[in-house]
Amino acid sequence: MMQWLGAHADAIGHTLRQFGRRPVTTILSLTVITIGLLFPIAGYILVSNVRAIVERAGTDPQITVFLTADAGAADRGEIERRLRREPRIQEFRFIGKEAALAELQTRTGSSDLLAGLSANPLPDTFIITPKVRTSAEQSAMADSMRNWPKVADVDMDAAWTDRLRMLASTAEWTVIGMTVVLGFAMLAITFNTIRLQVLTRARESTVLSLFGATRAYIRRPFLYFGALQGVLSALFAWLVAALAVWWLEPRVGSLIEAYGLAGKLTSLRLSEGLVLLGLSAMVGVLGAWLGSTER
Amino acid sequence: MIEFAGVVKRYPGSPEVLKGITFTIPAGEFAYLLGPSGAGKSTVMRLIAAIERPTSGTVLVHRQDIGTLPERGVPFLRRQLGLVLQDHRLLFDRSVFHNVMLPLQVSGSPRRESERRVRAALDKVGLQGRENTNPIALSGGEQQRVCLARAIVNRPSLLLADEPTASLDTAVAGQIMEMFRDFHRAGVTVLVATHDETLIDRYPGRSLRLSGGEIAP
Repeated sequence: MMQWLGAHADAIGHTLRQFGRRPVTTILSLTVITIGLLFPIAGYILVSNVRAIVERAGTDPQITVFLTADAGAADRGEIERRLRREPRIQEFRFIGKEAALAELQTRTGSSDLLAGLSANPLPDTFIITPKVRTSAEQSAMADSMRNWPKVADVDMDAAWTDRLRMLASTAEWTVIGMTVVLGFAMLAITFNTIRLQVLTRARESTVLSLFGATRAYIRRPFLYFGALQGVLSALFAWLVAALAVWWLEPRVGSLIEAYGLAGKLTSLRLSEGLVLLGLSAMVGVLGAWLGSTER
Repeated sequence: MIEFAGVVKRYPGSPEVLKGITFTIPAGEFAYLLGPSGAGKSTVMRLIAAIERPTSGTVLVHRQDIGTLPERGVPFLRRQLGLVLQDHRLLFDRSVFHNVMLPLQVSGSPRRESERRVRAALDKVGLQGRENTNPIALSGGEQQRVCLARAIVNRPSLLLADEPTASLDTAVAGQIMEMFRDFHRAGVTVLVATHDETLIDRYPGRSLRLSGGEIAP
């Protein structure tokens, strides 16, 4: 066990010396990979923030059922009974036409104008909070309600959040595509860096092999190098993204508020950052493995 | 210890370098592999160290068949050998001390024990006090001593030396050969490949003469 740990400690020491030995090359490689990582990170942050805003906006989607003008108390009772039996509904409330008119007068402050109307033009209304969460399920429920007797119209207020959600979903796939492409770019950069290192250290590798080093022993410092390069690049990218979010937050926050939405621009969470570090390390190791296997 | 039986070695597109050679070097022997350049001496050395595999025939080293030895077994075989190579193969990005330490490092020897053995090996070849020097700053003879220290630091039972005196003047070559004799006296099997036939007169040992890829009678 100590022997195994010692071999790994040697490899890590060797890797760190390698980083220090060619600082300019190391910094430039790290910069390229960091920039490469920043694109998918920025995309991910954008998408996750939009998703969060959509979720917040759409946490209480409402369906409004408007009754026909001739609907009477018995009809309202029938609708209420149906709503109570409907398992897809979390809660509902009734707003009578008179209450609606009074609220309208209060809100608009145009009581004189509305008082001049010969009849109340507003319908009786049920405001429903659905239990089902997806827009498809909510639409299906709204469609079935449209066929109920004395129902004039059913309105879903989640249409715009649906569009935003679809936009976020499209952006999400774009980010996934970008991540895959830039992941390959990172792989290629690491592969090339390691291949050059292997070429530079060919003599050392040959000598080590002549004196009984296993392939794993010779390859190990390269793998550590790839992993460390991946982790450091991811760390820098995470830091830059966090700084960018911190700088943008007040500006974007005003924009969000201007749309009447609640939300705060956030960077990567700790768990997401750790996943980023892990993935970058894995890509780095893979690139290093391929680069060191080629020879 | 070393057994060659009908060993043929052919490289793609070239004639046979070794044409079915057979010989045995028992444990504890001091032997020379003599012959002019191109006779196949280095190929024999490379076969023993499992750097090459025979095209046909059997090469046994420590009872291990080099022809069938799996790739993962090669490093462990090499750890039992001490190699002194014609072109030194020293690493100039590290000190004498760390060059000599390489075989111990790759075999995972504990650090403190390794340091003790490196000092002992350097002491044996007369390089004490030069531990921190870069080998590039050493003379040819001193570099060869570093190679020798590196070859014996793992306490091998078999020492292989390919043209160890080729680029050295007579006096320094003599010192190196004396060291080989010392190791032999300590029980190490030594095989020296050389084109310099005068060595055998000054430092007697069994001789195997290679000529045109065959063992001369």
